[in-house]
Amino acid sequence: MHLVRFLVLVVLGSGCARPASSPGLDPPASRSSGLRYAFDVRDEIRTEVLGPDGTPVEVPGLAAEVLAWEGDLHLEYRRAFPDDSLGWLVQFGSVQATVDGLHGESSGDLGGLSMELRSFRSREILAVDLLDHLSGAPRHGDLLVPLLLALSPAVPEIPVGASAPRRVHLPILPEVGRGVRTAWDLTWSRLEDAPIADGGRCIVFHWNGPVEGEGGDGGPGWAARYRISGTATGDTCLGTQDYQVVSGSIQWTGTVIAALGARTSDGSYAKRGTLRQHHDWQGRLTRMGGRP
Amino acid sequence: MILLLFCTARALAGLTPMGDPPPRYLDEAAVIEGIEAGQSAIARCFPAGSPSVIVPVTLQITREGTVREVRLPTPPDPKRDPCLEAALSGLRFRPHDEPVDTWSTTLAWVDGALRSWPVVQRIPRPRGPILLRVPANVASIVAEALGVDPFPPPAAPGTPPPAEDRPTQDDH
Repeated sequence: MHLVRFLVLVVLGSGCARPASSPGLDPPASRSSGLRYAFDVRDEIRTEVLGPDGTPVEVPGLAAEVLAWEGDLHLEYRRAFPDDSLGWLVQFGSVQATVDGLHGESSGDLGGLSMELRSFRSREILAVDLLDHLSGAPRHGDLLVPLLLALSPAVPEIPVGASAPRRVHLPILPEVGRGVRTAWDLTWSRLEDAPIADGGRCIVFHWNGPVEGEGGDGGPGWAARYRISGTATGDTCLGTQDYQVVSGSIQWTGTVIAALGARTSDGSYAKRGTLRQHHDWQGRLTRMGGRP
Repeated sequence: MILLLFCTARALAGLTPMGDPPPRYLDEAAVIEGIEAGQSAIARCFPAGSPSVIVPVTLQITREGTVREVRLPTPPDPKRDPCLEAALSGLRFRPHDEPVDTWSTTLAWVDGALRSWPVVQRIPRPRGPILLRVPANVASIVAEALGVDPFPPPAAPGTPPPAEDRPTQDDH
Protein backbone atom coordinates (compact mmCIF):
# COMPACT_ATOMS: atom_id res chain seq x y z
CA MET A 1 0.00 0.00 0.00
CA HIS A 2 2.84 2.35 0.84
CA LEU A 3 4.46 1.53 -2.48
CA VAL A 4 1.28 2.41 -4.36
CA ARG A 5 1.01 5.70 -2.46
CA PHE A 6 4.63 6.48 -3.29
CA LEU A 7 4.12 5.73 -6.96
CA VAL A 8 1.00 7.88 -7.10
CA LEU A 9 2.94 10.77 -5.59
CA VAL A 10 5.82 10.30 -8.01
CA VAL A 11 3.49 10.22 -10.98
CA LEU A 12 1.54 13.26 -9.86
CA GLY A 13 4.78 15.13 -9.36
CA SER A 14 6.56 14.03 -12.47
CA GLY A 15 4.66 13.75 -15.65
CA CYS A 16 1.57 11.66 -16.38
CA ALA A 17 -0.43 14.19 -14.49
CA ARG A 18 0.81 17.72 -14.00
CA PRO A 19 -0.15 20.05 -11.22
CA ALA A 20 -2.43 22.79 -12.39
CA SER A 21 -0.48 25.72 -13.72
CA SER A 22 -1.16 28.74 -15.85
CA PRO A 23 -1.10 28.04 -19.56
CA GLY A 24 2.20 29.00 -21.10
CA LEU A 25 4.27 28.17 -18.06
CA ASP A 26 4.93 24.66 -19.33
CA PRO A 27 8.22 24.20 -21.12
CA PRO A 28 8.12 24.33 -24.89
CA ALA A 29 7.91 20.95 -26.59
CA SER A 30 11.16 21.42 -28.46
CA ARG A 31 14.53 22.17 -26.93
CA SER A 32 15.60 23.94 -30.08
CA SER A 33 13.18 26.80 -29.53
CA GLY A 34 14.04 29.78 -27.43
CA LEU A 35 13.55 33.45 -26.83
CA ARG A 36 15.97 36.27 -27.40
CA TYR A 37 15.94 39.44 -25.36
CA ALA A 38 17.68 42.76 -25.73
CA PHE A 39 18.80 44.16 -22.40
CA ASP A 40 20.50 47.16 -20.93
CA VAL A 41 21.68 47.80 -17.42
CA ARG A 42 23.01 50.92 -15.80
CA ASP A 43 24.57 50.70 -12.36
CA GLU A 44 25.74 53.84 -10.58
CA ILE A 45 28.06 52.79 -7.79
CA ARG A 46 29.35 54.89 -4.93
CA THR A 47 32.00 53.29 -2.78
CA GLU A 48 33.10 53.96 0.77
CA VAL A 49 36.00 52.33 2.54
CA LEU A 50 35.81 52.00 6.31
CA GLY A 51 38.61 50.98 8.60
CA PRO A 52 38.32 48.20 11.17
CA ASP A 53 36.73 50.61 13.67
CA GLY A 54 34.22 51.87 11.11
CA THR A 55 35.99 55.15 10.47
CA PRO A 56 35.83 56.30 6.83
CA VAL A 57 39.13 55.94 5.01
CA GLU A 58 39.97 58.42 2.30
CA VAL A 59 40.99 56.73 -0.95
CA PRO A 60 42.17 59.22 -3.58
CA GLY A 61 40.64 58.51 -6.95
CA LEU A 62 37.80 56.40 -5.62
CA ALA A 63 34.90 58.20 -7.25
CA ALA A 64 31.36 57.22 -8.18
CA GLU A 65 31.29 55.07 -11.29
CA VAL A 66 28.60 54.31 -13.78
CA LEU A 67 28.81 50.82 -15.22
CA ALA A 68 26.63 49.99 -18.16
CA TRP A 69 25.94 46.90 -20.20
CA GLU A 70 24.00 46.58 -23.39
CA GLY A 71 23.44 43.40 -25.29
CA ASP A 72 21.24 40.44 -25.89
CA LEU A 73 20.66 37.12 -24.24
CA HIS A 74 19.04 33.86 -25.20
CA LEU A 75 16.61 31.98 -22.97
CA GLU A 76 15.93 28.37 -23.75
CA TYR A 77 14.28 25.49 -21.94
CA ARG A 78 16.78 22.64 -21.56
CA ARG A 79 15.66 20.07 -19.04
CA ALA A 80 13.31 19.02 -16.27
CA PHE A 81 14.19 17.84 -12.78
CA PRO A 82 12.46 15.23 -10.65
CA ASP A 83 10.98 17.93 -8.38
CA ASP A 84 9.12 19.28 -11.42
CA SER A 85 11.40 22.28 -11.69
CA LEU A 86 12.80 23.29 -15.05
CA GLY A 87 16.29 24.16 -16.20
CA TRP A 88 16.58 27.14 -18.52
CA LEU A 89 19.75 28.06 -20.34
CA VAL A 90 20.51 31.76 -20.20
CA GLN A 91 23.29 32.63 -22.61
CA PHE A 92 24.66 36.06 -23.34
CA GLY A 93 25.01 37.04 -26.97
CA SER A 94 27.05 40.12 -27.70
CA VAL A 95 27.51 42.34 -24.68
CA GLN A 96 29.01 45.80 -24.64
CA ALA A 97 30.29 46.94 -21.28
CA THR A 98 31.29 50.48 -20.48
CA VAL A 99 32.41 52.47 -17.47
CA ASP A 100 31.27 56.07 -17.42
CA GLY A 101 30.68 55.79 -21.14
CA LEU A 102 34.15 54.43 -21.88
CA HIS A 103 34.86 50.94 -23.14
CA GLY A 104 37.81 49.17 -21.68
CA GLU A 105 38.64 48.46 -18.11
CA SER A 106 35.05 47.74 -17.14
CA SER A 107 34.80 44.00 -17.37
CA GLY A 108 35.76 40.87 -19.13
CA ASP A 109 33.71 39.91 -22.12
CA LEU A 110 30.48 38.20 -21.12
CA GLY A 111 29.59 37.30 -24.71
CA GLY A 112 28.88 33.60 -25.12
CA LEU A 113 28.97 32.84 -21.40
CA SER A 114 25.99 30.99 -20.02
CA MET A 115 24.26 30.12 -16.79
CA GLU A 116 21.38 27.87 -15.90
CA LEU A 117 18.27 29.22 -14.29
CA ARG A 118 16.32 26.59 -12.38
CA SER A 119 12.78 27.56 -11.59
CA PHE A 120 9.41 26.08 -10.84
CA ARG A 121 6.72 26.36 -13.47
CA SER A 122 5.46 29.43 -11.64
CA ARG A 123 8.83 30.99 -12.62
CA GLU A 124 9.86 31.06 -8.98
CA ILE A 125 13.67 30.97 -9.10
CA LEU A 126 15.28 28.13 -7.20
CA ALA A 127 18.88 28.32 -8.27
CA VAL A 128 21.25 29.91 -10.72
CA ASP A 129 23.91 27.44 -11.74
CA LEU A 130 27.27 28.02 -13.48
CA LEU A 131 27.63 31.50 -11.99
CA ASP A 132 31.24 30.73 -11.13
CA HIS A 133 32.05 31.44 -14.77
CA LEU A 134 30.58 34.92 -14.66
CA SER A 135 30.99 36.31 -11.19
CA GLY A 136 33.56 38.58 -9.59
CA ALA A 137 35.96 41.04 -11.17
CA PRO A 138 36.85 41.41 -13.96
CA ARG A 139 33.73 39.87 -15.52
CA HIS A 140 31.21 41.24 -13.05
CA GLY A 141 28.44 39.12 -14.51
CA ASP A 142 27.03 38.77 -10.99
CA LEU A 143 26.08 42.44 -11.14
CA LEU A 144 23.65 41.51 -13.94
CA VAL A 145 21.90 38.76 -12.01
CA PRO A 146 18.91 40.93 -10.94
CA LEU A 147 17.91 40.80 -14.62
CA LEU A 148 16.87 37.20 -13.95
CA LEU A 149 13.97 38.48 -11.87
CA ALA A 150 12.71 40.26 -14.95
CA LEU A 151 13.33 37.16 -17.04
CA SER A 152 11.63 34.81 -14.61
CA PRO A 153 9.01 36.79 -12.65
CA ALA A 154 6.94 34.67 -10.28
CA VAL A 155 3.78 36.71 -10.74
CA PRO A 156 0.82 35.94 -8.48
CA GLU A 157 -2.47 34.90 -10.08
CA ILE A 158 -4.62 37.94 -9.32
CA PRO A 159 -7.29 39.87 -11.24
CA VAL A 160 -6.77 43.29 -12.78
CA GLY A 161 -6.74 45.96 -10.09
CA ALA A 162 -5.69 43.60 -7.30
CA SER A 163 -2.42 43.47 -5.37
CA ALA A 164 -0.78 40.60 -3.55
CA PRO A 165 2.48 40.02 -1.72
CA ARG A 166 4.87 37.43 -3.01
CA ARG A 167 8.39 36.97 -1.78
CA VAL A 168 10.90 35.90 -4.38
CA HIS A 169 14.39 34.64 -3.84
CA LEU A 170 17.43 35.27 -5.93
CA PRO A 171 20.39 33.18 -4.84
CA ILE A 172 23.78 34.32 -6.14
CA LEU A 173 25.86 31.32 -5.17
CA PRO A 174 28.73 30.76 -7.58
CA GLU A 175 30.48 28.13 -5.51
CA VAL A 176 30.08 26.18 -2.31
CA GLY A 177 30.66 28.58 0.60
CA ARG A 178 30.74 31.57 -1.66
CA GLY A 179 27.69 33.63 -2.40
CA VAL A 180 24.74 35.68 -1.28
CA ARG A 181 21.09 34.76 -0.82
CA THR A 182 18.74 37.62 -1.49
CA ALA A 183 15.05 37.86 -0.67
CA TRP A 184 12.73 40.31 -2.38
CA ASP A 185 9.54 40.94 -0.39
CA LEU A 186 7.48 42.27 -3.23
CA THR A 187 3.96 43.53 -3.52
CA TRP A 188 2.60 42.76 -6.96
CA SER A 189 -0.14 44.86 -8.50
CA ARG A 190 -1.89 43.79 -11.66
CA LEU A 191 -2.62 46.69 -13.99
CA GLU A 192 -4.84 46.83 -17.07
CA ASP A 193 -3.61 44.69 -19.95
CA ALA A 194 -1.64 46.74 -22.45
CA PRO A 195 -1.07 46.56 -26.21
CA ILE A 196 2.35 45.36 -27.41
CA ALA A 197 4.28 45.96 -30.58
CA ASP A 198 3.28 42.81 -32.46
CA GLY A 199 -0.40 43.69 -32.22
CA GLY A 200 -1.09 41.45 -29.25
CA ARG A 201 -1.60 42.38 -25.64
CA CYS A 202 0.25 41.74 -22.45
CA ILE A 203 -0.63 41.21 -18.81
CA VAL A 204 1.01 43.97 -16.83
CA PHE A 205 2.29 43.85 -13.28
CA HIS A 206 3.97 46.53 -11.26
CA TRP A 207 5.86 45.43 -8.19
CA ASN A 208 7.96 46.89 -5.41
CA GLY A 209 9.32 46.11 -1.99
CA PRO A 210 12.37 45.75 0.21
CA VAL A 211 15.37 43.60 -0.64
CA GLU A 212 17.58 41.88 1.91
CA GLY A 213 20.54 39.60 1.53
CA GLU A 214 23.34 37.89 3.40
CA GLY A 215 26.31 35.83 2.47
CA GLY A 216 30.02 35.53 2.24
CA ASP A 217 32.92 35.17 -0.11
CA GLY A 218 36.56 34.34 0.14
CA GLY A 219 39.77 33.61 -1.63
CA PRO A 220 43.40 32.98 -0.85
CA GLY A 221 44.14 34.94 2.30
CA TRP A 222 40.87 36.89 2.46
CA ALA A 223 37.27 36.45 3.41
CA ALA A 224 34.22 38.68 3.23
CA ARG A 225 30.87 38.77 4.96
CA TYR A 226 28.02 40.44 3.15
CA ARG A 227 24.86 42.24 4.04
CA ILE A 228 22.61 43.71 1.40
CA SER A 229 19.64 45.97 1.94
CA GLY A 230 17.62 48.17 -0.32
CA THR A 231 14.38 48.58 -2.18
CA ALA A 232 13.28 47.48 -5.60
CA THR A 233 10.57 48.34 -8.03
CA GLY A 234 9.78 46.92 -11.42
CA ASP A 235 7.33 46.16 -14.18
CA THR A 236 6.53 42.93 -15.94
CA CYS A 237 4.66 42.40 -19.18
CA LEU A 238 3.59 38.83 -20.07
CA GLY A 239 2.11 38.03 -23.46
CA THR A 240 -1.55 37.08 -23.20
CA GLN A 241 -1.08 34.39 -25.86
CA ASP A 242 1.96 32.54 -24.57
CA TYR A 243 2.42 33.91 -21.03
CA GLN A 244 6.09 34.48 -21.75
CA VAL A 245 7.91 37.65 -20.73
CA VAL A 246 7.55 40.34 -23.37
CA SER A 247 9.40 42.98 -21.40
CA GLY A 248 10.49 43.74 -17.89
CA SER A 249 12.26 46.41 -15.94
CA ILE A 250 13.87 46.60 -12.52
CA GLN A 251 15.26 49.40 -10.45
CA TRP A 252 16.93 48.56 -7.22
CA THR A 253 18.58 50.98 -4.91
CA GLY A 254 20.57 49.62 -2.06
CA THR A 255 23.82 48.98 -0.34
CA VAL A 256 26.18 46.06 -0.42
CA ILE A 257 28.23 45.99 2.77
CA ALA A 258 31.21 43.69 2.66
CA ALA A 259 33.19 43.23 5.86
CA LEU A 260 36.57 42.15 4.59
CA GLY A 261 39.06 40.31 6.64
CA ALA A 262 42.11 38.15 6.56
CA ARG A 263 41.70 34.42 6.68
CA THR A 264 44.28 33.14 9.09
CA SER A 265 46.11 29.86 8.85
CA ASP A 266 43.83 28.24 11.45
CA GLY A 267 40.79 29.14 9.34
CA SER A 268 39.57 31.94 11.54
CA TYR A 269 38.57 35.35 10.28
CA ALA A 270 40.07 38.66 11.37
CA LYS A 271 38.09 41.69 10.25
CA ARG A 272 40.23 44.39 8.69
CA GLY A 273 37.77 46.82 7.17
CA THR A 274 34.56 47.34 5.29
CA LEU A 275 33.72 48.14 1.73
CA ARG A 276 30.32 49.78 1.41
CA GLN A 277 28.92 50.14 -2.08
CA HIS A 278 25.71 51.96 -2.85
CA HIS A 279 24.01 50.92 -6.08
CA ASP A 280 21.46 52.73 -8.18
CA TRP A 281 20.76 49.86 -10.52
CA GLN A 282 18.38 50.01 -13.45
CA GLY A 283 17.84 47.24 -15.94
CA ARG A 284 15.33 46.32 -18.57
CA LEU A 285 14.85 43.66 -21.16
CA THR A 286 12.65 43.34 -24.21
CA ARG A 287 11.80 40.27 -26.23
CA MET A 288 13.36 40.45 -29.67
CA GLY A 289 11.53 37.60 -31.38
CA GLY A 290 11.05 33.86 -31.46
CA ARG A 291 8.22 31.88 -29.99
CA PRO A 292 8.54 29.11 -27.45
CA MET B 1 -1.03 -1.08 -11.35
CA ILE B 2 0.72 -1.77 -14.66
CA LEU B 3 -0.47 1.57 -15.98
CA LEU B 4 0.85 3.21 -12.84
CA LEU B 5 4.27 1.62 -13.29
CA PHE B 6 4.28 2.58 -16.96
CA CYS B 7 3.45 6.19 -16.13
CA THR B 8 6.09 6.29 -13.40
CA ALA B 9 8.80 4.97 -15.68
CA ARG B 10 7.75 7.38 -18.39
CA ALA B 11 7.64 10.30 -16.00
CA LEU B 12 11.09 9.64 -14.58
CA ALA B 13 12.74 8.88 -17.90
CA GLY B 14 14.67 11.85 -19.19
CA LEU B 15 14.55 13.83 -15.98
CA THR B 16 17.88 15.22 -14.90
CA PRO B 17 19.14 14.46 -11.41
CA MET B 18 19.38 17.58 -9.28
CA GLY B 19 22.87 18.99 -8.94
CA ASP B 20 23.98 17.66 -12.29
CA PRO B 21 25.44 20.70 -14.08
CA PRO B 22 24.54 21.23 -17.70
CA PRO B 23 27.48 20.55 -20.03
CA ARG B 24 28.08 24.17 -21.00
CA TYR B 25 31.67 24.26 -19.78
CA LEU B 26 34.53 21.79 -19.80
CA ASP B 27 34.75 19.43 -16.89
CA GLU B 28 37.41 16.93 -15.85
CA ALA B 29 35.86 14.08 -17.80
CA ALA B 30 35.74 16.12 -21.00
CA VAL B 31 39.38 17.15 -20.67
CA ILE B 32 40.55 13.61 -19.92
CA GLU B 33 38.57 12.34 -22.90
CA GLY B 34 40.21 14.90 -25.18
CA ILE B 35 43.69 14.02 -23.97
CA GLU B 36 43.11 10.30 -24.23
CA ALA B 37 41.95 10.67 -27.83
CA GLY B 38 45.39 12.03 -28.68
CA GLN B 39 47.44 9.49 -26.74
CA SER B 40 49.01 7.82 -29.77
CA ALA B 41 50.38 11.13 -31.07
CA ILE B 42 51.68 12.03 -27.61
CA ALA B 43 53.29 8.61 -27.18
CA ARG B 44 55.31 9.12 -30.39
CA CYS B 45 57.15 11.94 -28.62
CA PHE B 46 58.80 9.38 -26.33
CA PRO B 47 61.04 7.26 -28.57
CA ALA B 48 61.76 3.63 -27.72
CA GLY B 49 64.12 3.43 -24.82
CA SER B 50 63.08 6.76 -23.35
CA PRO B 51 63.52 6.80 -19.60
CA SER B 52 60.47 7.04 -17.39
CA VAL B 53 59.45 10.62 -16.88
CA ILE B 54 56.43 12.63 -15.86
CA VAL B 55 55.78 15.87 -17.70
CA PRO B 56 53.37 18.41 -16.23
CA VAL B 57 51.64 20.35 -18.98
CA THR B 58 49.18 23.22 -19.18
CA LEU B 59 46.74 23.70 -22.04
CA GLN B 60 44.74 26.73 -23.00
CA ILE B 61 41.59 25.43 -24.65
CA THR B 62 39.53 27.75 -26.82
CA ARG B 63 35.74 27.98 -26.92
CA GLU B 64 35.78 25.91 -30.10
CA GLY B 65 37.71 23.14 -28.35
CA THR B 66 41.08 23.68 -30.01
CA VAL B 67 44.32 24.20 -28.10
CA ARG B 68 45.57 27.76 -28.26
CA GLU B 69 48.69 27.43 -26.20
CA VAL B 70 50.72 24.61 -24.70
CA ARG B 71 52.98 25.23 -21.74
CA LEU B 72 55.69 22.68 -21.09
CA PRO B 73 57.97 22.44 -18.09
CA THR B 74 61.19 24.26 -17.57
CA PRO B 75 63.96 23.59 -18.30
CA PRO B 76 62.92 22.79 -21.86
CA ASP B 77 63.78 19.52 -23.55
CA PRO B 78 64.74 20.53 -27.10
CA LYS B 79 64.39 16.99 -28.44
CA ARG B 80 61.01 16.18 -26.98
CA ASP B 81 59.24 19.50 -26.61
CA PRO B 82 58.56 20.38 -30.28
CA CYS B 83 56.93 16.98 -30.75
CA LEU B 84 54.87 17.33 -27.57
CA GLU B 85 53.83 20.83 -28.48
CA ALA B 86 52.61 19.64 -31.88
CA ALA B 87 50.81 16.63 -30.42
CA LEU B 88 49.13 18.62 -27.65
CA SER B 89 48.25 21.46 -29.99
CA GLY B 90 46.41 18.94 -32.14
CA LEU B 91 44.13 17.78 -29.32
CA ARG B 92 40.44 18.46 -29.72
CA PHE B 93 37.99 19.00 -26.90
CA ARG B 94 34.28 19.55 -27.01
CA PRO B 95 33.16 23.14 -27.63
CA HIS B 96 32.21 25.07 -24.51
CA ASP B 97 31.21 28.55 -23.35
CA GLU B 98 34.47 29.84 -21.84
CA PRO B 99 36.50 31.99 -24.26
CA VAL B 100 39.67 30.26 -23.05
CA ASP B 101 39.81 27.60 -20.37
CA THR B 102 43.17 26.65 -18.91
CA TRP B 103 43.79 23.15 -17.61
CA SER B 104 46.83 21.38 -16.27
CA THR B 105 47.61 17.70 -16.22
CA THR B 106 50.56 15.37 -16.31
CA LEU B 107 51.88 13.11 -19.03
CA ALA B 108 53.40 9.98 -17.54
CA TRP B 109 55.80 7.91 -19.59
CA VAL B 110 56.46 4.92 -17.38
CA ASP B 111 58.30 1.71 -18.32
CA GLY B 112 58.06 2.38 -22.03
CA ALA B 113 54.38 3.25 -22.15
CA LEU B 114 52.22 6.36 -21.85
CA ARG B 115 50.01 5.95 -18.80
CA SER B 116 46.66 7.62 -18.48
CA TRP B 117 46.88 10.29 -15.83
CA PRO B 118 43.53 10.55 -14.07
CA VAL B 119 43.99 14.01 -12.63
CA VAL B 120 43.32 17.20 -14.56
CA GLN B 121 42.82 20.57 -12.91
CA ARG B 122 41.30 23.79 -14.13
CA ILE B 123 43.57 26.77 -13.54
CA PRO B 124 41.07 29.15 -11.95
CA ARG B 125 40.68 32.51 -13.63
CA PRO B 126 41.65 35.44 -11.44
CA ARG B 127 38.48 36.81 -9.92
CA GLY B 128 37.56 39.34 -7.31
CA PRO B 129 34.87 39.22 -4.64
CA ILE B 130 31.30 38.83 -5.82
CA LEU B 131 29.07 41.89 -6.14
CA LEU B 132 31.89 44.34 -5.53
CA ARG B 133 33.29 46.67 -8.10
CA VAL B 134 36.55 48.46 -7.42
CA PRO B 135 38.33 50.25 -10.27
CA ALA B 136 41.69 48.69 -11.07
CA ASN B 137 43.50 52.00 -10.70
CA VAL B 138 42.59 52.29 -7.04
CA ALA B 139 42.29 48.60 -6.13
CA SER B 140 45.72 48.48 -4.55
CA ILE B 141 45.01 51.62 -2.50
CA VAL B 142 41.71 50.18 -1.31
CA ALA B 143 43.41 46.89 -0.52
CA GLU B 144 46.02 48.69 1.53
CA ALA B 145 43.35 50.64 3.39
CA LEU B 146 41.48 47.43 4.12
CA GLY B 147 44.62 45.54 5.09
CA VAL B 148 43.68 42.68 2.80
CA ASP B 149 43.80 42.32 -0.98
CA PRO B 150 40.92 40.47 -2.60
CA PHE B 151 41.25 42.15 -5.99
CA PRO B 152 42.74 40.35 -8.98
CA PRO B 153 45.45 42.16 -10.91
CA PRO B 154 44.23 43.55 -14.20
CA ALA B 155 45.23 41.29 -17.05
CA ALA B 156 44.57 41.22 -20.74
CA PRO B 157 42.48 38.27 -21.91
CA GLY B 158 44.65 35.25 -22.55
CA THR B 159 47.61 36.53 -20.59
CA PRO B 160 49.65 33.55 -19.42
CA PRO B 161 49.80 32.95 -15.69
CA PRO B 162 52.75 34.31 -13.76
CA ALA B 163 56.04 32.46 -13.97
CA GLU B 164 55.59 30.72 -10.63
CA ASP B 165 52.50 28.99 -12.01
CA ARG B 166 54.37 27.50 -14.95
CA PRO B 167 54.97 23.78 -14.71
CA THR B 168 58.41 22.52 -13.87
CA GLN B 169 60.08 19.34 -14.92
CA ASP B 170 59.88 16.53 -12.43
CA ASP B 171 61.75 13.44 -13.54
CA HIS B 172 60.39 10.16 -12.37
